[in-house]
Amino acid sequence: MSTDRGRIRITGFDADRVESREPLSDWTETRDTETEGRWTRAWREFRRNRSAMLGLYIVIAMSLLALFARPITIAGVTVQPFSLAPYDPGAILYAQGLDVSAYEAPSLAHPFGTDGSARDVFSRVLYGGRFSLSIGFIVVFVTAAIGLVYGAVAGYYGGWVDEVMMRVLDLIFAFPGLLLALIIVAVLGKGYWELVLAFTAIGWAGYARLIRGEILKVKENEYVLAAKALGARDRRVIFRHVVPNAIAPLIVQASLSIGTVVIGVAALGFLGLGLPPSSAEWGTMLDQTRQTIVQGPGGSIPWWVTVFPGGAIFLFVMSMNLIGDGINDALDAQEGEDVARGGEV
Amino acid sequence: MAKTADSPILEIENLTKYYESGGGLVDTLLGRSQEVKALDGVDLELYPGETLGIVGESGCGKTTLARSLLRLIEPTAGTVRYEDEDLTAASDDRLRALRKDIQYIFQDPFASLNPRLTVGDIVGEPLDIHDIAEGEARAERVSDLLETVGLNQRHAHRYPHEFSGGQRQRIGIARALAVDPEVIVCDEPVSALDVSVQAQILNLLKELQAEFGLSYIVIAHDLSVVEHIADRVGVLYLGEFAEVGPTEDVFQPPYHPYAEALLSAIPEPDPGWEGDRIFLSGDVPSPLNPPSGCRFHTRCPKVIQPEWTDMAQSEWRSLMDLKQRLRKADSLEAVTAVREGLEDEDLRQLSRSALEARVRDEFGLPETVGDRKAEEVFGTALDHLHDGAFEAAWTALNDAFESPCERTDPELFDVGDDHRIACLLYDDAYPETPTRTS
Repeated sequence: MSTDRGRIRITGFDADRVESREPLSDWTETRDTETEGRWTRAWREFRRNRSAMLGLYIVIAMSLLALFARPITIAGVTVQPFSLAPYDPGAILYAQGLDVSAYEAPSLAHPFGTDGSARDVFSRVLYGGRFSLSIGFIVVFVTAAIGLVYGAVAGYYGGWVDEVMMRVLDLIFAFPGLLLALIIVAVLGKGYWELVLAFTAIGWAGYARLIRGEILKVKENEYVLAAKALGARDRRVIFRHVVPNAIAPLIVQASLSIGTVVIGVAALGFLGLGLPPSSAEWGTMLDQTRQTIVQGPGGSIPWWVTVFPGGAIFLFVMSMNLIGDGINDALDAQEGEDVARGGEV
Repeated sequence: MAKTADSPILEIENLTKYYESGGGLVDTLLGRSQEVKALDGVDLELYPGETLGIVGESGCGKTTLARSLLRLIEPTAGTVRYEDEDLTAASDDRLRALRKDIQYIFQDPFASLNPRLTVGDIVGEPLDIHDIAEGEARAERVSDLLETVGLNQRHAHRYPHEFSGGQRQRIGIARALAVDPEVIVCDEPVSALDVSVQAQILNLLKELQAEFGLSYIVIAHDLSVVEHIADRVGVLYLGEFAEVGPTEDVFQPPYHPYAEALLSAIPEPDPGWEGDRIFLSGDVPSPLNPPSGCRFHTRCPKVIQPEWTDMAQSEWRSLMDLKQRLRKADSLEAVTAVREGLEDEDLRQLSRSALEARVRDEFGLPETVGDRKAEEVFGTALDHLHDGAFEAAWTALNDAFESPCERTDPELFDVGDDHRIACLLYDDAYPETPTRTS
């Protein structure tokens, strides 16, 4: 026994021995393949999800149908000459000398029948996609962008900035969303951009709160401090290091709420506060024909004037939700795979 | 590399960081917030080309020191001078420019690399930030850097999760080297890695130092790491330096009692070794309310006795422990030994002699304490305890047993060439006390 240290020397404290030892696995540099990016991997995951792909196909089909429903002319130049819809959606057919009456049942000439003003419902449903879909996508894009910046600033700087910005959010959350949109439309008047503004005003708050929460979590990561230690400015730290790691829930939320916005637009239309009464927007079409649900002209109920626009809303919203779920799974699965791959190496 | 005669490249004076604790808005308004004294007036110098190791146990302020000297967290007070420029007074823009000269390596290579960026972008980021290189030149510099730290340049297009811990730490080092720094602060650079990889990384750091003339501040809790890499060592305890000096001096007597305890805890592979492992009593005190005088006096095995006493050091230490325990105690369980199978008994029913035996048992005190007067004080305290008067018992002990260490906060006393120890044992004003007997 001895009280002296160092009678036994450990010689492994020598990097050369470690580097020249037998390899622990048969992995070699030549076996490695090109790295797959984050989005490539998510897309591969998404494609495996059949219901999400079905939703995607439906949304693409509806968008194309809406796009090619009537020719598009910009400043006198026709940029899109196709016309899938057989009639002008606003045209009152018997006024054009055609042999068509109001509330005609679906037939070969009018697959979805005609409405109370003898307009072709098929043409109107096809064309109406332009309003609902574009409002949905525009509103979600704008609200998500505003919410992202607002939430990122509040979450990243914290303290008083966060406190004040979050109280402003609470103000917006204190209003029932649709009611606020209703008030805005009532004040500004009916119209496409008025609707966009109304839904944007209520929509961004949810994204802001969501992204703020994520950022509070992400900004504690050491790589954020590392970027600051390198001398990066706040803007760079936020948008290069914090936001990309916090954005996944926002994308999921955005894809899910396109459907919500479309429903909201339809609801305002149904309440008579959407687009002008004669326009072909789906919700407005429902509003124009809602009395026929109870009692149609001559005792019969013309189901086609409500079922087809309503069905279009249903189909689109459901497809968007399938896509949203698919994105959620794809981004989640990717995180899971990350962990597994980390352990593998 | 030994200390050179040059002026220091980095000079830290009185660096202090207090964290607000319990800091809700209401608490602040009511003045209820407390300060956690994570770092309390630390001075140090770093000379060009040297490696300064800083050791200490968890929560003693190592990371706070590293981060506040770079102003990654704002220090409460003090100055950090880099080549005669005060960092603590620098504007944000100036500070960003200075980050080119002082870099930081993080403890956890799994957390300190952004998982969404490729290695090339991680290593290239400092080049973008400081407009050092673009396009072709940037790609070239990135692959140079990767090769310098022992990685393959083809790794530039991969993501951090595809690398092992040691490789990731190399990426972190490459990122720090990108701006051609003068000083690198390494916060526990190897503690997240396994032992064989630790050696590789430490040797890499040494090679880079020789190649680029870097100065390091290396934070570690592992003394063998510090011994391997550091030229000078500072031992940190509760936000203050206990001992500073050249590595070989710190690892040899004279010791600060805390440093001595740390050194005795280095594992020894020799099964025939029966060294004198020093066990410290109690836990690290809360930095919310650090002990008065010398911060180590609550655990110090060599805590100085008052002049009137004459007893074995271990008995004196036990009496100090009893006193500290009584200060916060509100039940007898806190100061008595638990007898097996009697966990539920009511200690208040014990006779005075039985209680005394239990207390002696808990603190390892002999039948009678070596000093007659001390024994009397102990008896008085026990009488109070038996009556359930905890406060009176503490007062009795506190009035009689007061170590100079509780009153006086020791300076860093010179004990050798550039070797300083903050302990009253090395102050000439105090006579040599009896050495520890156990």
